[in-house]
Amino acid sequence: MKTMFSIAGVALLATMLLGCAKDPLRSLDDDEARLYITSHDSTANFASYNTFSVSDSVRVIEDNQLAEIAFTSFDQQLVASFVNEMEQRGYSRVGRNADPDLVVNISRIYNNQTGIIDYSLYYNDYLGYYDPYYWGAGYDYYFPFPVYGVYTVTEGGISIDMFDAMNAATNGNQLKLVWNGLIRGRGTFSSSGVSTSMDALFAQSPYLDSN
Amino acid sequence: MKRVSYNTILAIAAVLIVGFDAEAQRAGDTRVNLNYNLAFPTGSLQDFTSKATGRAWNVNLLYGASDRLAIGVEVGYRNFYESLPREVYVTEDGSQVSAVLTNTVEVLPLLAKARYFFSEGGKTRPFVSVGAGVNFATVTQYAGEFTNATDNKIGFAAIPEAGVYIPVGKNGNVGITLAASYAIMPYDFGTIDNLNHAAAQIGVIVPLRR
Repeated sequence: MKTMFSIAGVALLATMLLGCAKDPLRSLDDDEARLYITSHDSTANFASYNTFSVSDSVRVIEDNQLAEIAFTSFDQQLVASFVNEMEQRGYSRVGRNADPDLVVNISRIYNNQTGIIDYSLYYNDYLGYYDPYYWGAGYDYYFPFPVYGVYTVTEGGISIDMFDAMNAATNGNQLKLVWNGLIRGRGTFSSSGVSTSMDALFAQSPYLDSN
Repeated sequence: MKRVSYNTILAIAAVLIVGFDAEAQRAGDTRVNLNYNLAFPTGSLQDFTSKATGRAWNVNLLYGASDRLAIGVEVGYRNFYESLPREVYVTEDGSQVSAVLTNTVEVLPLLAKARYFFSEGGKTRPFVSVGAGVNFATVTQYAGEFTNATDNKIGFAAIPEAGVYIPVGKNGNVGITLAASYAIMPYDFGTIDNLNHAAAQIGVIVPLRR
């Protein structure tokens, strides 16, 4: 009986000490917790683009459904930060009716399920979230490379999609995706993280500097 | 329900373990050796997590089969951790992912153990030990706050050890242990082919209730 008490004491102590593991994520600040993912069309000649236009609203997509079209103060900050990065690299912002070389859509994406999402699914002809005719009659979206995201429960992200409008006519009226930037992780939707996140996306996309 | 503090748990554990026995050490005694470890990764474990860890301990229960030989069981725990500065990684499909990678390894060996003392008395009692058994291991890599890869396995572990026992007190049945050990833990996950590591440890030996 006494030995059993002693063994119980050792087991109790061992159980307590098992709680000594370092929480690997607790020490990460918001920026360290985030991922910045970029993809681009390796055949695109970014030096040939001079102007760009950004959609005047942000699509809010929840569980693969369009939840709303918004332009909150956070969205405005997001767009402003993106515009600033582009202009620093020599691009000029123009209105969508001014025949821009590049057209840009920005989305806030929330998902409450686990799965792999193909972002190009948001761009169907007439039933999708972005009307290609917004950029010009007869246009269609085209994705020469995959843009996938893996989502877990209640995960969200920001997606920035840049399309080649300059060569749409020669591409069969297709707005070809030439660059995608994804921001995922803690603090993605925090105003304090916008400029840090945007800086990171552009820092790892030196080909955008070729303008 | 009132939350029980760690100090309370420690006190309860100490009373359960030690009791009030204070007899001289001999064959037939059962003793508990609690050790704090400082563990140093080697080999492919060091390539994954290069930093030493102080989140490491082991506890063994040894029965004196003779005045020099003790046999029993041991359980241990080591938690290796390293966070790497943000870097841009290129994936197979050509995407660029900027992330802070965090690598963690947890091992929990459960061993049958034997310890041989080179003397039956004296101010210091050198010993060698060997333990062999199973190892419950978990290896995880995080990219930011996301799990990039994780694996857990039950494998083999063998831990040879050499040290010295320094009895203290009137009867010498409690004392301090100083030892060095090397854990041999085969593993297979990605570029990791073992979880071998060295450890330095300091601990106490206390008798169990009889």
